[in-house]
This record gives sequence, C-alpha cells and structure tokens, in this order.
Amino acid sequence: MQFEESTVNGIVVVKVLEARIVADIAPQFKARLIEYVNKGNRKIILDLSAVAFIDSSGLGALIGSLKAMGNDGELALCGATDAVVNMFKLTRMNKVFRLFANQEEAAAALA
Amino acid sequence: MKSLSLSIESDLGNVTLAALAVKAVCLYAGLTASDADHVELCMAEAITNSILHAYHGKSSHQVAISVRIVKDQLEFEICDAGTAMSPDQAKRLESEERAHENDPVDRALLSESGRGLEIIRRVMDEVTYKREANRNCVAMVKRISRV
Repeated sequence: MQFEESTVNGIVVVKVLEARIVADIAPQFKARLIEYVNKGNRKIILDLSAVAFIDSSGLGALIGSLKAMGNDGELALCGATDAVVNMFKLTRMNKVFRLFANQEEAAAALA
Repeated sequence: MKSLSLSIESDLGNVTLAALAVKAVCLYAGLTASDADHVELCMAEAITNSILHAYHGKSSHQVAISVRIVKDQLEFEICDAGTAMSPDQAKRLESEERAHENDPVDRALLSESGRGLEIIRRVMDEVTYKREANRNCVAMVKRISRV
C-alpha cells in the first residue's frame, strides 16, 4: 500500500499510489487512512487520480475512515477517474463523499 | 456461441486477473467502456464474495468463472463449492430493493460492508442464485446496448 503525502494550504493530502483498491488491500488501506485520523488530522484530502478501480471493500474502507473522523471531520476526495466516479454514483456514495476535480479545488473547499 | 471458462484458486490476489479477463471479453463483444467497467466490478464483487463468504477466506479452493456471448447479451456465471448463501444474501442479490439508503448527515449509520451484492443487482439485467449439488452459482446477464 503506497501513499504519497503532501500539504496544501495546511491540509494534509494523501495521494493513493495503488491502481486498484480491492479486497486484498482494503483492510490495510483503511488502517493507513485511520492512522492519519488518529494523528489528529480533522481535514484530509485523498487524491485518487492514480486509482483506476475500486470495489465495494475499498469503498467500505473509505466509509470506515469517514466514520472514524466523526461527524465534524472532513474527508474530501479528488481526481477520481471515470471508473471510480461511476462506482460512487452506482452506490450513491457521491452523496456521502465530497468529490473534487483536483487537490487545489478540494483545499479551497475545505479552507 | 462463443464462451470462455476460467478457474482460479480462492486467493484474493487472483480476483483482478479473472475480472480483467472477463472485462476484455465484454469489450470485444461490444459492451460500452462504462458497461464493461461495471461488469468488471460485478466480477470482482461476485468472486470476492465466493472467496470470503463461501470459502471463508481460505485459499486452495476453486472458483469457476465463465462468460458466454449469446446474440445480444453476455451471460456470466461464478460458481464455488463452498458454504451456501444465506436466504438474506440471496434475497439481496435477486431483489430490486435498495438495502443501503445513504444519509450523509449521520455517518455513524453508514454501513461499511454489504454493498457488493447490491452492485451486482443494479448493474446486471438478470441475476439468479442457485444452490445445486453442493455448489453455489450466481448467473448474471448483461444485455449489449449498442450506442
């Protein structure tokens, strides 16, 4: 599970460097994201531009991370590819997660 | 009728190989890229379900995958020899009902699992689950819409 971490306007940005978030890595994916929450980050931008495919277990990991942030934390997703956006629409998760075109737009919305 | 049959060992690392092979057949048969993405997702969901639920995550069992091109539709079958689906799971697979209503306000109510079967139901035009001779088979049909 590879992440690339950076900061935009003081907000932590986690870029996922895995092409597929599926059942074999979903538990590790969730654990790594929750580490960021446990470090006290109340706003996290997750860059999914390198992710070509996500299944329901990957989605479950994202939901678990969102829940770990409580109702006032912000987990914004950006750069999702067409297949990933389609998956969010199919499961209506586009109504649960905030999706942005890129890191800058996400950072502006969370500012 | 053209068809492809595959068998994988019940290891989650193999799911992608089978899902991508089936997706390639879908594109060849004329499914749109978006529909082929959705079928790939359904294959990943159904095969993962066989491994995690029917075989309880244990490797060294077999999951059989087949895809047939029949006129204007694609027919898929995922079979395993593991534990049967519960009536509740089978119902979720074949039912039109939406199990998950998302409420963005209260995150605590969001479920982290259980969406796989619902995804299959929403993507496929027909879904049936059969338990015969100690085997589970999920049969799915996707019609080819040529746009």
